[in-house]
Amino acid sequence: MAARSETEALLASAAADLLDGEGGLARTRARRDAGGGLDRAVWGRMAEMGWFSLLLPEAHGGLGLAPADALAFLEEIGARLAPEPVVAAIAAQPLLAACGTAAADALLARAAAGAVVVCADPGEGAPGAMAGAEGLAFAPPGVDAAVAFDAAGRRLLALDPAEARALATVDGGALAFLADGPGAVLLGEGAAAEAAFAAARDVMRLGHAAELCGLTGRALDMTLDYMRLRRQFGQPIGAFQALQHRAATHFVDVSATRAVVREAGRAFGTPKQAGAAAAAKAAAGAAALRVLKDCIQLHGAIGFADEHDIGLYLRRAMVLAAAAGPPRACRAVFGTARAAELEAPLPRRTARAAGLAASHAN
Amino acid sequence: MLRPESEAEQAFRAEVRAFLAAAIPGPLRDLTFRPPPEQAMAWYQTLAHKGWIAPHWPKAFGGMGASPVEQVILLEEMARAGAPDIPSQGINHLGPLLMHFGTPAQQARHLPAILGGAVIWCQGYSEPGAGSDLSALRTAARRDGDDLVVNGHKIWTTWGQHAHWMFALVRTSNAGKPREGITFLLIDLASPGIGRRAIRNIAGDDEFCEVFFDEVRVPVENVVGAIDGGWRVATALLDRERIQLGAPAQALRALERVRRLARQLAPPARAALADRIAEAELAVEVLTAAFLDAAERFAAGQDPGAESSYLKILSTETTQAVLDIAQELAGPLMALRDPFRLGDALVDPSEMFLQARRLSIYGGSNEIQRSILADRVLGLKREAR
Repeated sequence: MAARSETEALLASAAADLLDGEGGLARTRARRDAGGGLDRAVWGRMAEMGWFSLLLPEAHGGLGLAPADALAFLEEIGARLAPEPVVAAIAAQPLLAACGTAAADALLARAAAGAVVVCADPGEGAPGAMAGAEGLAFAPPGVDAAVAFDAAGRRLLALDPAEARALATVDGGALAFLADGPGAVLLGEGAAAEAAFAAARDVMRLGHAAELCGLTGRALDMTLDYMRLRRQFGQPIGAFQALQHRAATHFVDVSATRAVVREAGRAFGTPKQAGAAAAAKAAAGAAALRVLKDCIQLHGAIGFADEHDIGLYLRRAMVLAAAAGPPRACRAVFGTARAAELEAPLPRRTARAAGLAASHAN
Repeated sequence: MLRPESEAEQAFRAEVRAFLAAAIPGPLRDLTFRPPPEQAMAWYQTLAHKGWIAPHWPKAFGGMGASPVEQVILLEEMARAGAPDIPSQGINHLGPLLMHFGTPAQQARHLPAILGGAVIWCQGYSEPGAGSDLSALRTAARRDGDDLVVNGHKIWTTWGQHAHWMFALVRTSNAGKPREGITFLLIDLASPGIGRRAIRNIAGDDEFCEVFFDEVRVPVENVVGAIDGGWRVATALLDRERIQLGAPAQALRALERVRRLARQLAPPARAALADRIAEAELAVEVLTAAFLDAAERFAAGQDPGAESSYLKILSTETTQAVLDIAQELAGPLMALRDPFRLGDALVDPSEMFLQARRLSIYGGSNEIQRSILADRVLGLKREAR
């Protein structure tokens, strides 16, 4: 694993401690069995720890961290399958702060006081007919407000998903199909609102990519544990070369995906941000599904049984891979950004920088 | 590269791009195969003169001391410019090994010759009976006065027919475990008693060969490390060598083929294949990120350990996957043997695809790399026999 900053490590261990203290996977399973819904007590404790204001500028009362500082934290959350929409809440606060309107400031104040405010998933990559019929964006139905653009893409709105039609997702959660309505509150308009929303969507992509890294890495560790313990033909199944090589392939996938997600984190705040965030999400979503399907297979029949936790990992991987742009939609975003990069001329060199480069020549 | 570049890095990229535009001789540009020795070494010497032949070597040994990001910039620009492939055994394998295990005399004699491109090196490891099971090697060397006398047979020796010198593993003892009686030896291929026979590969090139040794006398001063201690010399740096094997050199060359084909596609075909093109771009970014991560951790003093086996698997299979996509883009032309001009691009539908079959075989097959990962990193025991 790449070296972490002190802040990053502190945040990561705080996430692990809180989620393990709340019951870990047993809580996730129990919430699912109880029909989903938001655990407001846990949400409150997360909010108290400042989780949702990690990226909010300090001037607005947040921690003002860069997304790269939150990656290890989000990996821990992903590894524990926390059912709360943490990434969407983290993305929402800087978005509201950037709007600069009284309505946005008021919503940010509500969020700071513990309201559940998230950035909606604009549902890129959805079949056109479905998007048109159902609404403009998705959000978990239990939240207090979700931020999304209207169908015409002009007005940034705060919407209450309570009224919206919601469909259950495979992990025990649900997606409400948000639609513009009488309860909608205008938060911002124009290019500034668009840029702020685009940045929030990039944060969602990078954040879900980090969650997927944590999830996939933990699922592989669980599978390796199982391969060391489960005995057939008088030896652990992990002794069979056919299975070892598949596990090794997954290790390659997990290691490389973690590297590209970290690399994408470095691109935030630069012109490469949108392409890099999409690349990270595309890579992490596809890798998670590749690895998780085989984790089930390597567990054999118990992997297919609902009682085993590995199935919870596959189902969450499906939900996170689909969120904020599924792999194909994100590849399209990255591919377009890359094509533009390839066409662009190199930035003009400066004399000072050229002097530094020349020091490499004989 | 997803990594934002500093002003100095941007300037370095501009300098590399301008240099390559001017310096690569026309006939050597966009080749689909490694050029013959006189041409390849002329280009090698051009890079050497510029100081860019050994990016990852420390400055103290005459290298460039380039950061991992600068190494990627060089590789990206070389691929973009269609720079020719050059022999790398001296730069990537022997040089770093001599820096660690060579005597001052060996370093003084061989490192400048590697850097300047005066000497072509080949690697004498594989034998007909020792491939993945390398320690089964039987080419033997017996002590006779101040010489070792070598008899045996090496095979799959890349550029063995053009090389001036070989670094080889030879058996000096049959006592103990197979790995304990092996010695690392530098052999002047101009010595009497050496026979060579080129082997044609499936791409139709004579890139590798067999080398036969019949009573070849090698001065004992050409032993690197201790007699019978060669296994350690050859393997001690494997973990860091795999970091260099993880550099996106071949993958970027493969990606350049995808880009050139993509530019020639009519808009509807390009739209239909856009996802595959993006997949190729993404796969190379994933590899680049993995290389930067490993190389930067290594530069910060972290031992890569056996985990670096993953980079060899990733880099070779990424290159192969990108070439699969190039084949898809070539469509009905994918099976053509020779390169042809399409618009302003030289399209190579099959040569690199065929050449790339070797990537997952040489340098420790990818099956061996997976077994290393399973055994030493993933904690999975070996099958009982």
